[in-house]
Amino acid sequence: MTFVDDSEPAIVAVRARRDGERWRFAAAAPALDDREVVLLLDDGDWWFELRGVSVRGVARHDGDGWYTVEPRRVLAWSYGSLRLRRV
Amino acid sequence: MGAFAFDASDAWVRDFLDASTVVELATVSPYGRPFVTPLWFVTDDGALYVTTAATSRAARNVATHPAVAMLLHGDRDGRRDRVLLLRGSATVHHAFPSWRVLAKLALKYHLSPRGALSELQHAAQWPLRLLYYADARGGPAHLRIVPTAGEIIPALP
Repeated sequence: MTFVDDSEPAIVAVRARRDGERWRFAAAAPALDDREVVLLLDDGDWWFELRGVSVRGVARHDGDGWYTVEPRRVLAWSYGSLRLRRV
Repeated sequence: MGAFAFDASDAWVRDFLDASTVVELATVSPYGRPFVTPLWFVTDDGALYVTTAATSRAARNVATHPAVAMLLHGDRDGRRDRVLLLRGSATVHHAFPSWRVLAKLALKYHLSPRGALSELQHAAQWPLRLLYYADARGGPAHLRIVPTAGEIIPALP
């Protein structure tokens, strides 16, 4: 999970889960309430196995050490699922 | 091991980098917003190299804000309890990296036994990959990332 700390990029490992449409994370990080974050979940070693989800949004503290990301943009990719589509 | 000044010759650091498939690279946009992307990488002469499109978000961010932060997982050793956090600075180069770096990338990702097997299993999709890369605008580029400090942190809070 990434955020900006004192104008510098910061990245921390988090425990993440998806509850329905809610993306949540728990992090050992400074207070992140109301701050813009990008939650990244990525997987795969080799090109055609690479896949992931990036959730950009505002962190809202749940009060139990967890945060919910109020999403502004969700981006997902799966290189193994590439298809040719004429537009 | 806590925070430390980065030394590429340190055997433990070198082993962790060699055992990591992906670097999760955090950058800051020209507007001060966070961004993170997972990238393949190799090390060469104390720096990390990643290839990217000249117009990629990471390249544009680094061009205006060179400071970066990175997470590496040491996953090829089966490590899951700790991650390596690196901080440093990056520069954008609007060209392919050196032949030596390209060879290292090919050996690590395409010609390793598991990498080559995956490539062969997806041979029918190679033309789609070429189209995917041909769609990238701005031409080839690479980032040279020079770590300056590191820290071992728990993989999960």
